[in-house]
Amino acid sequence: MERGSVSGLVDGVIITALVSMAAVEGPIDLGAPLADAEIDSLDLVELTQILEEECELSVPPNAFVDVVSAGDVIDVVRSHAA
Amino acid sequence: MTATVCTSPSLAGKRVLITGVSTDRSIAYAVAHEAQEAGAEIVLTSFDRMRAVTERSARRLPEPVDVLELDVTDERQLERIATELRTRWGRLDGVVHAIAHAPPEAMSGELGSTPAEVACATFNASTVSLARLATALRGLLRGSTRSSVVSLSFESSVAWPSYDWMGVAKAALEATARYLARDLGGDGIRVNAVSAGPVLTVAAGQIPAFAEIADAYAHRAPLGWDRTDARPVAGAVCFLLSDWSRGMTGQTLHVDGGCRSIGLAPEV
Repeated sequence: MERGSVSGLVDGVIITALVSMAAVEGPIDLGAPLADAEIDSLDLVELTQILEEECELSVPPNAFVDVVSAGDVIDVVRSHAA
Repeated sequence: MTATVCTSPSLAGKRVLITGVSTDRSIAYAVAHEAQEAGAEIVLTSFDRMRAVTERSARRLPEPVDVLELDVTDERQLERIATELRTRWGRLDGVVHAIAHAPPEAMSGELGSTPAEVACATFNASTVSLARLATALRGLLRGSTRSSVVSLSFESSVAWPSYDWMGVAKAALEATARYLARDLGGDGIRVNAVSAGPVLTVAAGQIPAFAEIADAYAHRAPLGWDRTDARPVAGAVCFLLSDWSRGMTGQTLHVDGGCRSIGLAPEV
């Protein structure tokens, strides 16, 4: 996956959600640690709910345990969508 | 003569407080779902940032439900929720305690290396909270003809990889249920625990050896064990909330596919 070319409904939902969860305003840097934007594991739990509601996509609760960046999140979600 | 077919314990007319609902994979969510299906009127509790997650899950339940703010480690919030429920219902027939929290250092894989304050925080949130919740709501529970408090545990008679202080807290939780059963029985309040097999919830996802433990259950349990299905556990909780279990208190029911009854896993 090219992290720089975010596209599609699912990617858009992820980015929109992460932007709304971030403590700092502005776009999400896909390569930067989520912690820089003060996005934590609880935010990612809510993200799984948003993905179910808006994309009918089920992601297991432990799927995000090892993610560091927004790009990692997109990778994980895409792997479960495949 | 018309035969009566009993399908599940009725909770019709019961008013039940359910804590610990996170996502719709949580055991508490399954309990809330089953309880509503069985006719109970319920309210959920959540607190702080978890509340957004709980409220999203609440919208998936069969009936609309309110989510009330409650941090069980805060005495003022316990007093406030008792007041709120007294105004709302006047009495309480059931409480589901599905609360546990352990900082990562409490499940490091080496019990003795955990700082004392971390162990105490785990114990306070996961064990003492049952006593504080039941005590805060005692007056409301006393107002019911038959009331029941149910807590959620995990097999605590053995040591598990990495479960550490949470395992200790669960053993103490079951003991706490017995002592509360002693103290509250005179008011007609029953207190029991359900020891569930491993269920893949958000909280379980934080346990380093969860997959290893769940695999062992799936292999060993005579009935098998589906880590993604919390409904068998919810059924047992609803049984303990119902009048069908009116003669039981101070007990721990094991809902694990029979795993703890088997000494050796079957040959493959």
